[in-house]
Amino acid sequence: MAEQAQATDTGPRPIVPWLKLAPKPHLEGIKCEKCGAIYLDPKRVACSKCGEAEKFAPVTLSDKGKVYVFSVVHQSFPGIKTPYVTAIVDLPEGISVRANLTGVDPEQAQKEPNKIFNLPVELTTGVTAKDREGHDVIAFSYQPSKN
Amino acid sequence: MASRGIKDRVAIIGMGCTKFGEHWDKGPDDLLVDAAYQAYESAGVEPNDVDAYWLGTMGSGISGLTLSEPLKIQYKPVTRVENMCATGSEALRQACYAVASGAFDMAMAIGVEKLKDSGYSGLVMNAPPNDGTEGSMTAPASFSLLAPAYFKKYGLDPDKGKDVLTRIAWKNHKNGAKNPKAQFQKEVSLETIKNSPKIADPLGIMDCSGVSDGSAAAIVVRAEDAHKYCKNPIYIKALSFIAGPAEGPLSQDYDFTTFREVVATAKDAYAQAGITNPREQISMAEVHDCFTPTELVLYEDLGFSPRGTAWQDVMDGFFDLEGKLPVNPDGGLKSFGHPIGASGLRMMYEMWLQMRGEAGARQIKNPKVGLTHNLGGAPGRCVSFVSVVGSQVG
Repeated sequence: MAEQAQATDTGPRPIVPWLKLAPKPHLEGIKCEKCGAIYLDPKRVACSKCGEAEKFAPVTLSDKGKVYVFSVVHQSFPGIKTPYVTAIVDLPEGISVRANLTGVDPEQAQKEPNKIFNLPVELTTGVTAKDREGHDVIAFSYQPSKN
Repeated sequence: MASRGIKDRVAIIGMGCTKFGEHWDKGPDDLLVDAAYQAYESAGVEPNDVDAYWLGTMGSGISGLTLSEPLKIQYKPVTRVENMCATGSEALRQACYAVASGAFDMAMAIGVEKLKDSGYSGLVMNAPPNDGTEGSMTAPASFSLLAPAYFKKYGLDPDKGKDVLTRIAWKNHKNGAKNPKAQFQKEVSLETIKNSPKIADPLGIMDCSGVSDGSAAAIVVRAEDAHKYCKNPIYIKALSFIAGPAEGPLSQDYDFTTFREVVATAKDAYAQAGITNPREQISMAEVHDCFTPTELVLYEDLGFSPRGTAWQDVMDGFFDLEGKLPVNPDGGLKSFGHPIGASGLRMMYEMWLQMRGEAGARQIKNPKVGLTHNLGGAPGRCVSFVSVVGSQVG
């Protein structure tokens, strides 16, 4: 029944399984209950820190973080508009996330990198494509925090 | 349990290497035949003398048939191996263990990659991203992160840091200009390198290794048999291969100024070889300079420079051909090119030439102990290989 319901659902779809759209867009990781390490991919079968394979629980991740390091990409895959800023964002839960930064001028970021290191950022989402069945595909990035 | 190694139990008695570059007129078969026959000839053996083969290729063929067909191997074992950009080194490691075990008397390790007809011109492994998120971290972008992280940690002004990276590429091109088999045999000025078109800031095109076709091969026997074939073989002192648990991309303890996998392989290899002070004891090294900041970080991970000081050694010319510890005397991935499955064996080919005094215009004076380092993956999530080889037993 569930599969049937999904097939007729025309609502938006997250691009990666760890992006959840409801009640508002956020990232959901899994946490190793033995050592506390957090991972994004829910399909993970064991903890790379302690080897625990059984005890994982979902954990809601903060929508705010800080830029650890970044690069301004000038040559990318076919069809991807450049330049853009790609970054490692550290979340308060202790996990790092790879994502693009939006709302940051790539040229400016390149000129004044020290303004981007440690920059407080927040999660934002947008439609990136339509899939074959016509669903909006939602991707996430981080933008400078507004508050 | 221990990683005991096979110090001085295996020797290389012959090697071959094609010219690396854009071989639009050749397929993997042609490249394999070229490298293999150079190796047979170098060792003075017939194809049928080799008892077993290890073929390394990341994507230019699957199964032992990729090698046995073009070489017309007469019903002998051929194993195809893959370990990302360290594939060539993995083939060598397996061949060495096979003869060390006594299972075979003579084995060949051969690597090949044919990148130039594969429809792209970069080391792109994943499907093109459609999300603007994870996959948009291109290979150059993921390695470029080492640079700002390193500059920030050690208080290097970004412009000064860029000069350090530039000098690494400059050195490798200067060395490659002396190498008739290199993809790019031309010196390039510091100014041209520094101002080359941006790929992933702060990396320009001249910070990136050459995308290339090529093949390289080695024939190994047990050390006690080496002099039957060869007056000046080179001896395997250490072989270390490590795959990390891939904590880096997720863990905030990982700071992008090191490869933990490399630190671990270096430690293991030095223990196997009995190296206690690599900066003093190693005469030359070939390291995995896929991008210039990789080479910078490797100097520290391999123990050539204390943490935070490799950039000074770069600027002082410590790693130049005429320096105290020449690194990438053959031009490295930057100038020699990077046909993935062949690169690890190409590094060993330079050890072979240098230790036998056959390196021509780039000959280093009397190198005794050499190191090759080969890496696959990205910062925080990679496989790493380190070998130590020597011209003498002991």
